[in-house]
Amino acid sequence: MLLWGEKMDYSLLKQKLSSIDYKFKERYEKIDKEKIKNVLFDITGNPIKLKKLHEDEIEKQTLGCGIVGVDGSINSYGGLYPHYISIIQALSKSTKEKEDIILQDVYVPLFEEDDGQIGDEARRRAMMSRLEIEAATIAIDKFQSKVILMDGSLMHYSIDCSSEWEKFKRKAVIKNKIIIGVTEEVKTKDIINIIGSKINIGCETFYDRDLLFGLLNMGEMLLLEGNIKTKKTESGIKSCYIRLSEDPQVAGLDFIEEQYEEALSYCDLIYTLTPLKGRGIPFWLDVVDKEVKITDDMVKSLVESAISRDIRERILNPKRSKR
Amino acid sequence: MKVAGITNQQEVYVVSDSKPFKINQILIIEDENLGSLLGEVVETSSYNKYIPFNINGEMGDNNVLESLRALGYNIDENTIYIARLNLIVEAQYPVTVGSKVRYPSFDEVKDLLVKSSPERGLVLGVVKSTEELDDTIDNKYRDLLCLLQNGKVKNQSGIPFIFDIKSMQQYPHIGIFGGSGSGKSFGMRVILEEIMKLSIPTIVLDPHYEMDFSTPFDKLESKYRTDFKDKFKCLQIGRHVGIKFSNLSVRDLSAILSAASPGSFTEPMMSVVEQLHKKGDTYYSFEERLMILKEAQEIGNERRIVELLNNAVDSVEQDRYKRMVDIYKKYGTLPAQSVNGILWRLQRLNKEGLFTNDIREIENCLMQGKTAVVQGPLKIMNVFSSYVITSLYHKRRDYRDGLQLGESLDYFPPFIIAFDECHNFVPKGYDTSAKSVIKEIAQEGRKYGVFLILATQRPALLDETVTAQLNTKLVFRTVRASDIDTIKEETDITSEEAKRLPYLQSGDTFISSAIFGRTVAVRIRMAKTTSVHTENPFDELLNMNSKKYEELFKDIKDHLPIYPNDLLSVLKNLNSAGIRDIEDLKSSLEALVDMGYIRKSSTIFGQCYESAV
Repeated sequence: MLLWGEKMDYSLLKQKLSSIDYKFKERYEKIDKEKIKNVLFDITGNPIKLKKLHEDEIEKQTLGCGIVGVDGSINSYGGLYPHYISIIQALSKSTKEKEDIILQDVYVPLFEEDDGQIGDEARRRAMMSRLEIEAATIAIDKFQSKVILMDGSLMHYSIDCSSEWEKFKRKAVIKNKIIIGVTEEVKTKDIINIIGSKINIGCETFYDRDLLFGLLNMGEMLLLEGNIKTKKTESGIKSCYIRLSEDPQVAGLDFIEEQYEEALSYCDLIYTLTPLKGRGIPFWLDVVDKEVKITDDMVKSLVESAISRDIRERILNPKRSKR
Repeated sequence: MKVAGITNQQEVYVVSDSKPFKINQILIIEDENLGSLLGEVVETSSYNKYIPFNINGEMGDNNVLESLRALGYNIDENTIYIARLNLIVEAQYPVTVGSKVRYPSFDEVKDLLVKSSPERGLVLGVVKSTEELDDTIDNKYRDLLCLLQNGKVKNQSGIPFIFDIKSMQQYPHIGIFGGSGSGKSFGMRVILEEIMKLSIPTIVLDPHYEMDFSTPFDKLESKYRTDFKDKFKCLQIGRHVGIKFSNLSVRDLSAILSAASPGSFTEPMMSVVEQLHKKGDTYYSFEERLMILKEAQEIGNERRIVELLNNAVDSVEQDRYKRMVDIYKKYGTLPAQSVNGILWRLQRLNKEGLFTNDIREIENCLMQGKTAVVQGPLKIMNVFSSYVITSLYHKRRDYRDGLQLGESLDYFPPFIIAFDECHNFVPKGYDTSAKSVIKEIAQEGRKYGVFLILATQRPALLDETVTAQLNTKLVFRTVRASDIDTIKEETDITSEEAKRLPYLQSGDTFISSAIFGRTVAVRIRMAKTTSVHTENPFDELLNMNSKKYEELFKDIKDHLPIYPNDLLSVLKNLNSAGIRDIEDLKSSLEALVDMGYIRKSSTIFGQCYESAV
């Protein structure tokens, strides 16, 4: 028990943390970069070198129609599940067109099935994915651009809202609009699954990003060719790993299987649009991300102006905010 | 443009997504509740959320931004401009956030910015950041002047700043502050040009010999020029004007003598002047009396002078010694040192020409509504100014007072006194001969219609009583912290404006005037005439040098080629006066080689100089 004014002692915590550090080191020491390279590149082939495009090349490739970025955002007001309200927004933004496509919705867990937090979380995510897909669908119709960059893996659309995703996919293929998902945090285990046994690394605790960290040079792209089967390929999504900036952590690109070949030709463009010093995703997605986000202040004032005070007090306001 | 953020009754923030703001710009806020409010921009900034300050953040590097441009997206379009606006008149309650903001039209700000008409007032320049009003401005205020920007002449754009000289009656005296190169002298010149335009009697004390208005500014189109030749006269102390000795009272004379060497003028000297000077003395009668006394004191005692008188050979000498005895009897007890001191001070002033003329020329100028530019060295100017200002001021005062008392005296017009480097004439902390009269005019002159225009680069050194009486102040670029402090104290310049003082462009000025009730940022117009001192001395050297060698080459050309043996005969035949001997000739030839006029080649007779042209 600490007395008033006595200093908190952190030494035990420090000890625990350094033993964790040691454990990590022990585990990741096993990763031999050269060995992985040998084994991996044997299967996948060598990484492809990308190049920065010149301005007129960019214009030529995009047919002067620019590109489109799609992203969504969730912002919540209130307390813990299920006593909150989420405001969901999705945005399609073209570099060329002046008008943006903004879709908005509100998610209220108390109006939904009471099946626990995990179900709630999934529903909420699905709502955003659906909204994003909708915004992207409108973009296909309204915008001239040939390329649509989506923030995040395409995989989660097929999980979150498979019917909408299938519809969207068909439309994109028919209208020949190239859809590319850009993932900044690769969460797959595909590579581990393929080569894990060959390099004596168990797949339970390792992820692809751990292996790929620093493996690719800047502007290099690793394709998972042909016969390599992953979870994604089963859902009709092809993907690749790519290092777009000085940051050694790789990013992932997802493509619709039918568009794979053509989509690859846009990788140079994506590389060109990524700041050298940034975190490794195209700048346009940063712009879209900033624009789609609703600030906490905005959410607060929106909710407080529309939802009556007694409801807020009774249902939404958490005790902790009164601390 | 919209009002954003937190507002209060005095100050609001305005944002715009298309046009940047200009400092000192006047804008109109259309508040639903408060009506139209006028505000002035006092601070500006811009912001782009995609190009943050943090360089390690997610900032697009240049290549990426260029690529985005190729995709049709210009990141600069995301720049927003922010201005802090001070309301000209305090609002009753805080301004409504979200109120629309727009540019005013001329009529809406006319009362605020225009206080006089171009014919009646001094057209000094344009009010800064009023270019947006060009379309709605009255014809009467258009095309009155030209501006000089980076050496180029530009037509008027914006509202003219017209100083209402008539309101000097209520708010007298003008101060012009600014460091060297800040445009202070040009400001003074422009004011004087405008005063001449209105034919207001003015006396200018010009220790720098720069206030000549006869040379027009050659870059100025002729339709904007004005011929001032009949409007002013340059008068040099000693040559055209001076002090008429017989007009001097004892008090004037001691003031003048003490001014000639301030600080070293002693009590005994004062009593020498008091005792020796007679009313109506001419310079020579006074000087002679002093000289005789000096000689007598050197002789030593009365008995010896009488002896000399008795031995005198002719009547002239006799008369002289007779006077000497008289003078010695009367004044012999005065300290010899002081007598000596007075004599050499007096003779020095006379040598400088102070007593050879009078100030009638100046009076004539004033009577004719002209500007009298009095030129002379600073030291003598100080003495002269006290005399001339005192006598002119008294003339005017006597006339006015006489009018009041019902006496009829000769008319003497109201007038303006203008001078640069005024901290020399009215310094803080010590006395000069001119100080008391200038102080008096600063405090009382308004009653009699006598006004001051004082310029200085060191307002901190200027007497505070005088500074406080300057109701209009033009503040040009000022760097010194102590001067900025003085300016802050003595004007209504805000601390934001004071921060800008060290960075003002030459010719830009803040005019803080009781007449306007607020500080106005003004770009002073281009002067119509130019000073002789504007040529860069280094350009002058360059010109002189090249001229010198050009002439030398002309002389030498006929003698080329020159062999070593020829040097002596060339020297003899050369009519160029500058060359003194063989060495000089050799070095001059070498210089001509350096400059490419001639070239040097080796021959069997030695080094030969021949024409290169």
